[in-house]
Amino acid sequence: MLFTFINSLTLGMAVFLIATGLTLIFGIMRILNFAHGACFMMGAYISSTILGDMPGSVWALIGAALVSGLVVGVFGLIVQHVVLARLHGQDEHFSLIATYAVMLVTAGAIKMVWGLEFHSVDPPPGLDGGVSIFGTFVPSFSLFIIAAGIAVFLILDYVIHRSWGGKLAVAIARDGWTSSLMGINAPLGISVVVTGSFALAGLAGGLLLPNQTLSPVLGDTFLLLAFITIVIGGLGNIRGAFIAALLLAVIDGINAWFLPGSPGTLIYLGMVTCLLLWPNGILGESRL
Amino acid sequence: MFNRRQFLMTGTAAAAATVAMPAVLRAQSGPIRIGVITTLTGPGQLYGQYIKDGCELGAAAVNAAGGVNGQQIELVVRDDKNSPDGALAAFRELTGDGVKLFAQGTFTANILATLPLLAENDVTMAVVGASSLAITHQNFTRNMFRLGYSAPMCFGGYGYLMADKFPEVAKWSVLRTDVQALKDITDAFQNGAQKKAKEAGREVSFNEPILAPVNAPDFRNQISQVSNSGADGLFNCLQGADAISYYKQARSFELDKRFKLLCDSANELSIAKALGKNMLDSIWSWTAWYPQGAKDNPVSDALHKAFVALRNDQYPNWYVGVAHDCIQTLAQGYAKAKSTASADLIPAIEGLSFQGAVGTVAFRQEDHSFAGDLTYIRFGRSEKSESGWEVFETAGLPGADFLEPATPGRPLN
Repeated sequence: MLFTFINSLTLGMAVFLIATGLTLIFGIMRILNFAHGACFMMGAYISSTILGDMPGSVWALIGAALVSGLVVGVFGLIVQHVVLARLHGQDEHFSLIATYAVMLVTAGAIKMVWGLEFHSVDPPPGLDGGVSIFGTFVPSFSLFIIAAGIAVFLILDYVIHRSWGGKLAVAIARDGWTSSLMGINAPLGISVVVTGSFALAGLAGGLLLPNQTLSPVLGDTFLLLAFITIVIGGLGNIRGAFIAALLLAVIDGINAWFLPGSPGTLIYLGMVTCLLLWPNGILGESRL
Repeated sequence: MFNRRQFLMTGTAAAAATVAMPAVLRAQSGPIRIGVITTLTGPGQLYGQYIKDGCELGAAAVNAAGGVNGQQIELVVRDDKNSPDGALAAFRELTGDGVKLFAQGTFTANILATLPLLAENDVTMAVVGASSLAITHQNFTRNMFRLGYSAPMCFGGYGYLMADKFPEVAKWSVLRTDVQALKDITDAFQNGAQKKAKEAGREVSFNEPILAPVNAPDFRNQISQVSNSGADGLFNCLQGADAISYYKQARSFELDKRFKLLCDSANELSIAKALGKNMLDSIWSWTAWYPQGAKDNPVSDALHKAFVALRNDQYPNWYVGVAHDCIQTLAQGYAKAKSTASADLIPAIEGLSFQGAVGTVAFRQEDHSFAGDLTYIRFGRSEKSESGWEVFETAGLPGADFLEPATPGRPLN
């Protein structure tokens, strides 16, 4: 039971790591970014290029993930100026199609640079084994993912709700026009948040790299679960996404324990139930 | 000098001669066009690319040897966009353009979309690799030749071989996704193992299959179930990236030490190429083409060299060999029939038997099934190898011994 719970919590935190960027960009721009999975994949490939097959240490893995986040963040800045900024004020459907196009271009570029073959990067020394918790074997890398998810949540929650920068971003998200009247550089604020959103996708790709197989479909693996998480939690709401990720973990654990012959079924049932109970998500839609 | 009347008469006669010229003569004046429909986008792209490479190398080999009946082969490659609709659109485009010879792979659903149209379009098709029973049973059409390995043949043989080589494995666990084709594979493996055990007066039992979602990010719950199953042997039927993620995540559980025997369905060396120095100790897999184990086959050897020159990869996927042989099948059939009309080409291919990269290529007349040699390889971690892994041994079986009965037009009972 404990083992199943920790496995499911690992999945929940992995999905949360990816969902953060997705919900952040929705919070500031009201865009469902279809390119997010491709950016996650890009981050994973960049990290693998930096690390090779075997990271030297945990810090090397984290360092490579941060570099990946930086590179993907710069890519996000370019996408913001070349694509998204031009669609500001347009119907949301244009943005959806635009991010879908960015996804196709990004995935195509990844195939051209890294090829179609499967690649694998191992966990660094120290995270490649397991530990015993109350007599239950738990993989060390699972604990790393859980810790990374909680750390990212705490940092983001502090930045958004406690820091000046976060408060400015919230102000821009809620009313960009009035914020501009107050002297806030709204376009700059939007660019910073979009860059951060893409950077989070790249960071997640780097951190989760030893858990997954690198292939051109890696982005699709998590994207659907990430969308489910932000819909359940409330679009644009980081706290909601975190709670939804925990809920996802619990539902997945129940599924694995009681319905092992129908893997993944209860997640969709859970989403339907949550939407019936809370049509706008558990914590409601939010502008950050 | 032509006067106007002479000019008109000469021009009219020339135009009439062009129109009246037999179609076959016009066709023979240019290259033979073979349509290749495969998956070049989406999750199957990796395998589609191998099929494309194999077809191109097959055509290049034929052309380098002087072509067929003095004509060169020209491939016209189209993407099925990983969907039956995409396959159908590509098929209609190419048949509309006069293409009569086809090679098509990767996924069964896409092939089933085009099969009903072969006869009415006078098309002859070589199916590349797809293993579904429907192709040669309930959806059979005489215009199709399946150069692929049916589940009862290659996985029935697989189970039989494992039960023969490892009598100490009495209980099996099976892991797969909830997909009919994979159920067919695991059922065939189970039947083969139980058949051999019965012959030897032993018993082999199989646990209920453990199911995993397709394209899942995490398999630890399934790994836990497998580890606690109490089985001696594990047959993994996850495919592609799912399989490799599964082996990666299972590494910390020391899966290879919990089981006496690990068997993978058909991911063959893609597992080792991805896992490298962290490869499992030892695992078996089926493969349709392992060129390093077929050095005595000059066709295989030549194809392997050509592939290495093309991709700088010593370990091509088996689709390359099968796709190469599909083009050879169509070319040799055309050489014999001297016509692309299916009425001439089908009997010609039915009578073929030639040395291909995957061994002797011949088709059962009743349902155009291929009954080639079956190859199984055992590979794993190796300190001696720079790549961190090596192939330890190969084993073979005659496919004809395991090919299911022919029931063209009807499902297999």
